[in-house]
Amino acid sequence: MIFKKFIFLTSFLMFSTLIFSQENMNEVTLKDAKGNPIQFSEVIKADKPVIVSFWATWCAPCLQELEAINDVYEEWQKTTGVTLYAVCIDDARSQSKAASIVKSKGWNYEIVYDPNHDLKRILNVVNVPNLLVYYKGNVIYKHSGYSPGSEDILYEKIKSAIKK
Amino acid sequence: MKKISILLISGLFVLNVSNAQDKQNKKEKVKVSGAVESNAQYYNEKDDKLGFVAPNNRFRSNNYLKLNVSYKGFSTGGQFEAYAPDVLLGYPENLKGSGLTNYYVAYNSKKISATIGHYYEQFGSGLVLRSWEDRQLGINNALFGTKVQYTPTDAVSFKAIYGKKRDAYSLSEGVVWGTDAELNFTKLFKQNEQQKGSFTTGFSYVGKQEKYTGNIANFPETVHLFSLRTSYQKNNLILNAEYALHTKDGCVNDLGNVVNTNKFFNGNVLQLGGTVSGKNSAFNFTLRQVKNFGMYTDRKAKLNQLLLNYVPALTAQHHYSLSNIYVYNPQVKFSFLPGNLLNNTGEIGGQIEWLKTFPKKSKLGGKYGMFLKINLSHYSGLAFDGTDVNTAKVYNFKAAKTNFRDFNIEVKKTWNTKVKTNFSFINMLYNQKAIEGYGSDNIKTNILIAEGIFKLKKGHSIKADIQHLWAENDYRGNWVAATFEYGIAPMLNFFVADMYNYGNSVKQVHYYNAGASFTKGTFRFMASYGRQREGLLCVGGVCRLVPASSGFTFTTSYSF
Repeated sequence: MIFKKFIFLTSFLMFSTLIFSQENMNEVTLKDAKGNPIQFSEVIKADKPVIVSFWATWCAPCLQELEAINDVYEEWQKTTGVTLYAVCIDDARSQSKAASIVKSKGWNYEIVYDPNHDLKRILNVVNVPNLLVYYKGNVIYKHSGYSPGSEDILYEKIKSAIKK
Repeated sequence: MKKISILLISGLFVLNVSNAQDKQNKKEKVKVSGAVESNAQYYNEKDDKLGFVAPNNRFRSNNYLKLNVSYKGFSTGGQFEAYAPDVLLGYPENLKGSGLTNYYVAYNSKKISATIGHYYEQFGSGLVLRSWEDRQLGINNALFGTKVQYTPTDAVSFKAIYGKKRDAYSLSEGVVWGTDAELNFTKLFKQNEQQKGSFTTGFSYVGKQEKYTGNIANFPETVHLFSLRTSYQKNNLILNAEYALHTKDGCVNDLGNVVNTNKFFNGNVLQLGGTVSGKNSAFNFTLRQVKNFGMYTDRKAKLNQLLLNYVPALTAQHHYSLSNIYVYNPQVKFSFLPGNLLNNTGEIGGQIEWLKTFPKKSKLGGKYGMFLKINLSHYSGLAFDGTDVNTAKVYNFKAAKTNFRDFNIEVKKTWNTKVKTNFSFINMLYNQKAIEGYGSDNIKTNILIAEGIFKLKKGHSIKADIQHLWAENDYRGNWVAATFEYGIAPMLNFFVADMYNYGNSVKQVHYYNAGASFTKGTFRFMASYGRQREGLLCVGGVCRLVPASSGFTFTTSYSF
């Protein structure tokens, strides 16, 4: 009975929000690599597209995705002006390793930390990898999970958004 | 409770619709967002090979519906959880049923934020206080009470909290309060970050109190925890140090029973870490002693229930199936064998790691580059003399027998635009007696893993691995495993996997699994059929014991 009620409410809400949903843009403070605070609302305000990619050092598909984008990132930046914010959700166990991974892989992404998962919660990210693309403050694409080749579709979405 | 939740949800729906109308009027004011997750299993009636017999409810599911509503800086929301008709096997049984949890009202601005209701918080790295949710582990120890944060400038931040921790549908007996301050000296004294580096420090205090009604005289009802942390960064150097201690606390065994002694113990943690990076390479290290620092808000709590703080394992986190059979569960508190014989007081050890990318067009890198990672961690129990806690002598900075050692090498190579390979070698020593309280103190394993990722025509890819584990001093013996995945980006993924415990001297079992997942935007559905191995499922150093089972699994998630 409870379960039925749950399913009913869920589908009802999902249906309604599918039509009417919009993004919650609360003030969330992240930290940059030096421990300085960064307001998320400032990050997504940009006139150029912004990829917000949630990752963790222990998440193999996250690393695969960021490696794959890194191979073509320079080209993407030239053609679309995109910036990728890699939001690290590692906790105390592995957060110190994130800097090592970024440095050793030579990533030019903007690395930010969300150790208390404030942003992850506000954006309702369930699992990593998970990415959102913002353009002029609005979400234009969302995707969770990674399969090789997903990055090509992401690039297409960004290109078509800025053409509009 | 049910009525309240229905009321809340329908209220949210009304807001949602009005929100939509607002949107049509181009007045975007009230914002609604949320997420749904459902994990369900349909267990086989029995599986003789596993010795598994279905529980009374063969179909079980854990479901979560989360909603937030915000208006300018204000927000409110909650989570509706339903474990129906019963909780999945291996999760805390007191979750059975349903209810509205984690409800809150909050105000957030750049300088001030305040929450009344449920909230998640951690001070520093969480050594003295952390409240968090991890659904995979069945952990949700959100604090219920109030939280205030004040950030007058970029250089200073203060927090204060008061509350009780969530335990399924009720709250802890123990009350928790605390405060935290963080200072950035470089910013405070307006120094040049490039020249002088960046220097930050933080201080936390946490108190917990729980009534004691037993016969032990002077039993400490209140325990105070303090921590001081500092971090320095300049160019390619990062250094961190943290020291935490708590005042005397009574002894409680692993079953949540108070040990009958009037000897009380304090505890401490000292942790040092650093990272040095160069071009395409980085080296990092951590050293840590933990003595009697695994804290709960309630004495009756056990396993993952009502954790006050977070002291994770500082070891490599492996992601292949065979590399997760022997997983280190950090020994951070006093633990006792049956008869309340002292078995552990803490641990001491460290980890070093070196990462290097051999760039494209270099000798080792070849045309597309190569990545190498070498990691070593070693942890020993803290030394103590005697197993009777009344007379035992407990030491600081003195190592006893090895609890765990892990040496691993990983090589990732890109051969061309279509083919990537990963090779891993892992050598481990696992002291089962110290970690699990029984068995051998000297299990030795070697693991070899080879993985290939092949991009086929547009969006199609194959990921496959083969693994072998050699084990000594464990009746479970050797294992072999393989995984095969076929992906059609970005929506579909199919997988087949098997782990075979062929060296087991009692019973050899195939742990097979096959399934598929569908992803579109934030919607994800996965269905699989197979066997679950009994063992520790660990995420971030906190573990849950998963019982053996077999059957169907369905996972659905969506966020909006």
